[in-house]
Amino acid sequence: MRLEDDRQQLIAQARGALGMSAADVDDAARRFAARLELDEQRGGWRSAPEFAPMVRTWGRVMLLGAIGIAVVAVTMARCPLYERAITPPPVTDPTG
Amino acid sequence: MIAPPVALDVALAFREHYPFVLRALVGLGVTPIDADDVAQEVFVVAHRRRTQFDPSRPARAWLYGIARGLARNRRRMRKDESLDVLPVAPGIDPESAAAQGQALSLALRCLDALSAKLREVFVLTEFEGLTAPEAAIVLDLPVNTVYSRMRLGRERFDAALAKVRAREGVGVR
Repeated sequence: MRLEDDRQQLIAQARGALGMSAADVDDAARRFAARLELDEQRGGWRSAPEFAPMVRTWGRVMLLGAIGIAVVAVTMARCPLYERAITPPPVTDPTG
Repeated sequence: MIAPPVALDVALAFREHYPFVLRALVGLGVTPIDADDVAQEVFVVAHRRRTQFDPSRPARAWLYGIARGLARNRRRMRKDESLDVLPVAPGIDPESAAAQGQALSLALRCLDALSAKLREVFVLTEFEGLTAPEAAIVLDLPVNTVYSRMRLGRERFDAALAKVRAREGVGVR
């Protein structure tokens, strides 16, 4: 067999393995439509950057975080149990 | 006055070009088992960028450009993927399906002997049956470059095929 004929025959068979019927294309089109719908529900990437909402959200998180840390710090500083916990133990003479 | 951008009707393009995109992806080295998923991804990207579509160029060329980028990424992710798992076209008797599967596997192995540039020209002209001027439009290349790559691609593919046939003990001239 000539190499060129062999190549053409091989490619024709390989194409056959990837052949698609109209029903296959319909099925793929249905899956594509479902995927687009799902993507739309999830929300997509915005075409323009929106910095203001991001800065507002970060600002809120930072402020609430700082208030939370301050409340914990003040409470700990005034807590008698904490005072006792950080006080070094009294030194006792082991010889009596 | 600037004309408003013409968005591509992706649903229509899907029905028209999905088989082409799928075959092109396999030709570009995406494993057949992944090809459907990547082909869907091509159209999702096309849908997202539909307003960037240039109607003066064929939709097929635009979709091919997207497919090429996604195929490159997918190949990078799955370098060691085997080609053993091949899809079986429905409505075909198992014997023919097996023969076609083997032919596809062998064709893909021979395609691996081609560089990326030769490979894409070879796939479009030999697998898709595009003429050199049509392939030149899809790839945005001069026609003479396409002719030259077609010739080189055939030589390399034939050499790889001859090597396989020699191992099998089949005589080819």
